[in-house]
Amino acid sequence: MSMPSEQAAKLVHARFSDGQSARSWSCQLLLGSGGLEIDRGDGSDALIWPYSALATHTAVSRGAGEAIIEWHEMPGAQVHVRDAAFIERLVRIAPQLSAGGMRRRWLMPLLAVMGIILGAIALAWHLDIKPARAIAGLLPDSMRLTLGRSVVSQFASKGRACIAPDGQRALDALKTRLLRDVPDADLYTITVADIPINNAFAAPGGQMVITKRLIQSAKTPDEVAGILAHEIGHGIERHPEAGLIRVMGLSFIIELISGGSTGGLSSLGLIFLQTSYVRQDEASADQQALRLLRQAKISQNGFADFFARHAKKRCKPGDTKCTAPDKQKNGGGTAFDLLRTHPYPKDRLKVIRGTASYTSTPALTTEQWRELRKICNKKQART
Amino acid sequence: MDAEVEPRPTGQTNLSVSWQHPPGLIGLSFTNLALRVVTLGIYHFWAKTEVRQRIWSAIRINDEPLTYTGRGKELFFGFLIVMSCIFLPVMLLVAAVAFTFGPQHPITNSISILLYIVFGFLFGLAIYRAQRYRLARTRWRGIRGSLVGDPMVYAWTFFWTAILIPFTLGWIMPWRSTKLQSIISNNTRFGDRPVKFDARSGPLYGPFAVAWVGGIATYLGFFGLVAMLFMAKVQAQRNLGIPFIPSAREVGIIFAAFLIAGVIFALVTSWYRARTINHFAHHTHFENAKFSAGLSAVGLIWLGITNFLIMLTGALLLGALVASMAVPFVGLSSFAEAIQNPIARLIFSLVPLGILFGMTLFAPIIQARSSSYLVRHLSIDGTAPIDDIVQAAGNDVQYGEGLAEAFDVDAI
Ligand SMILES: [Zn+2]
Repeated sequence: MSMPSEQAAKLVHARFSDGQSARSWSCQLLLGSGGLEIDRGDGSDALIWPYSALATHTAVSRGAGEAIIEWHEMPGAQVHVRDAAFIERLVRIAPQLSAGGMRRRWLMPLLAVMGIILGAIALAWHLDIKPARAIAGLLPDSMRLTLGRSVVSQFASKGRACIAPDGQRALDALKTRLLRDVPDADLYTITVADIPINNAFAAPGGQMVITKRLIQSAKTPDEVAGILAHEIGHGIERHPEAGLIRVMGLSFIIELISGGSTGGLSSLGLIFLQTSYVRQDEASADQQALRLLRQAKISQNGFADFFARHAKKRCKPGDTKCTAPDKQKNGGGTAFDLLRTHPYPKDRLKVIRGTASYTSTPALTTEQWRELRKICNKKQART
Repeated sequence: MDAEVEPRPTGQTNLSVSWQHPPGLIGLSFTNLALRVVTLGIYHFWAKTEVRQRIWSAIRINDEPLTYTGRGKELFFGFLIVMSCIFLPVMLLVAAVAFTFGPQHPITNSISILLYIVFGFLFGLAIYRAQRYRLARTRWRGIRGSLVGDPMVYAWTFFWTAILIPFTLGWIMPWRSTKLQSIISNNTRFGDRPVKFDARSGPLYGPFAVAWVGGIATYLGFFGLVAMLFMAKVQAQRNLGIPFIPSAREVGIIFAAFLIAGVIFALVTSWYRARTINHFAHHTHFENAKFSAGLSAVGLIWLGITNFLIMLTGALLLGALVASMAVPFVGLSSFAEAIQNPIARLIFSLVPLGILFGMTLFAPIIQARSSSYLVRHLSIDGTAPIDDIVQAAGNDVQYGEGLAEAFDVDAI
C-alpha cells in the first residue's frame, strides 16, 4: 500500500449535517468501492452511503460546482460538496442525481399514462363515440327548456320579440306542418326576433330564433320553411345541447391540464372552436330538414334557393374552392351570422339539389305569407 | 457608568443571507415547455417543483443553500383532490341549479352569493396551506421549516377583513396586511425555534395615503375614461339586442389602456409595497438576529416592468410559433385567405392556447429574478445558536398546495 498521495488526491473536503440539528461538520469525502465514504474526522467510523441509494432534492446539472447529496436511510442528513470534478465523477457512478436522471424516474410512467389517455381518445374517435351527444340525450326536457329559454331571451327580450297575432298564426301553421311526425313536437317554439342580423339558430330544448331580416330576405315561404326545417333538424339531433356540453367539458379539461390557472383566456380559444357546428352536424341537420320537408309536402327547392343565393353572394365568381362564407358580411354580422354558423354552402347545396322531387304545395298561402312578413309590426312590450 | 455590555452568548453564530444566481434557467424554461406540451400540460406541477428546487438552492444562509424537498406528484395530487372534492361538485351544483331554476331565479342568485362567501373563505385557507406546505418542504442543513397554528384563524381573519375593505374604502389594508403577516410570521418555525414578528401598522399609513390618492386618481382618470368610451357602445348594442363582442381594435385599446393604467398604478403603489416589506422585515426576529430589507419603489417597478416584458416575449414567441404551424397548409397567404382553410382555422384557434403557455414559458427566469431582488435586498444582523437548533417533531404536511393551485395564489 504505497499510495497515500493518490488517496489524498481523491479526498475532497465537504460539509456534513446529520439531520438532527442544524450543526454542520467539516468532513472528507471519498468515492469508495461500496459507496460514498464520509469521514467526519472525529475518530468515528466513516459513513458509507451506497451509490444506488444516493439521492438529492436539487438536481445536479452538467458542470455543477456544488451538490447536496442525501441518503434516505438517514433522513435529513446531507453532504454539501463544492468540487466540480468530484461531483462529475460521482454523477457518473450515481446517474440518478442528474437532472435528466431525476426526470426519467417519473417521466416514463407519466408518458405511459398520457399514451393511454390519447389511445382512449383515439379509440373513441375511431368508434365514433360522441360523449357530448350521449350526455345531451340524458338531459331531462325541463332542463333543456330552461336552458333554451334563457338563451332565446338574450336575443329576443326587451321588446324584440315579434308577436303580431296574424303573423303568429301563419308561423304556427308552418310549425305544425313541419313538426307533424317529430317526437316532443309540443316542446318546439319559434321566436321571431327584430334584431339587425340575418340569422336563424336553434337553442336547447327546441327553442328556435329566426330574425325579421331573414324573413324579409326570403323570396318565398318555402325558403323560410327550409331554414326552419334545418333548425328543427338541429333540435331533433340535440346539437345545441351537445355543443354546450362540449364547451363545458373542454373548458374543464383545459382548466385541468393548465393547472387551473388559465382563467378567462382559455375560453377565447373555445369560442373560436365552437362558433361553427361541425360539418357532420350540418349534414345530419340537412338530412332531417329534407325528411321533414318531404313529410310536410313542402318543396325542397326553397331551401336550395336560399343557399344558392347566399353562396353566390359570398364567393367570388370562378372560385370553385369557395365553401366557407366570405368575411364580407351583410348587415352587422356577428359570430352568430347565419352563414358563419352554417358553413359549407356549396357542398350542402349539391346534396339538397340531388334529392328526388315530389309533389308539393307552397309552405304558406299568399295571405299567410303576407301576414308572416308583417309579424314584427307588433312587438312584445318592453319588460 | 453602568455600561451593560451584552456578553456574546456562547455557541452563537453570526447569520448572513445571500443569493447565488442559478444557471441554466433558459434551458430549463424550454425543457419544461417541451415536457408540458408532450404531457398536455400535466407536467406543470413537476416543472414548478424543479424551478423551486433551483430557486431555493440559490438562497444561501451562511453560504449554505436552502433545499426544496417538495415533489411534483404532491402538487399534482393536491390539485386533483381539490378539483374533484371542491370544484367539480360546486360546478355541477351550480349547473344543476341554473338548469333547474333558470339563471335569474332568486335561488340561483342566493346560491351564487353563498358560493362567493365560501370561496372568499377558502382563498385565505389556500394561502395559509400553501405557505405551510412550502415551509414544510424547505430545509437548511437538513432542518425543516414549519408553519404551526390553525389555518382557520388565518382564513377567518383574511375573510372578514376582506369584507371590510370596501366599507373602509381600503383603509383597513395596512392594518390587515400587518395582521395577516403577523399570523404567518409568528407561526413560522425553523426546526424547534420560532420566528417573532412585532410590527404595527401605524407607520404604514403615510405611504398608504400616498398610494390611495394616487390609485384613485389613476382609476378615475383612465379607467373611467375608457369605461365611458365603451359604455355608450355597449348600451347601444344592447338596445339593438346584439351581444357586445369587441372588435380586435377595441380589444387592443382596452388592453393598451389596461397596460398604461397598470403601470401608473404600479408607480403610485410600489412605494407603499416597498415600505411594507421593509417595515415587516425590520420587525422580524429569529433568535438573536433581526432582519432588515432595503427594497425601493424604483427597484420594484423596474423588476415588474422587466418581468412583464419577459413574460410578453414568451407569449408572443409561442403565439407566433403556433400560428406559423399553419404555413405548411396555407402558405404565406393573408389571414383572411388562410382562415378559409379548416386546418388553418383549427391551428389559429390554438393560438390563444399557445399564448397562454407562452406566458408561463419564462416563469423560471421571472421567479428567479423576483426572488433574487428580494434576497439581495434582505439582510440578517445578529446571531443564532445554530448548533442547538434541532428538528421539530412530527406533523409533516401530506399534500401539496392543491387549494392554492386551484385559486392561483402563488408567489413562488
Ligand atoms: Zn345548421
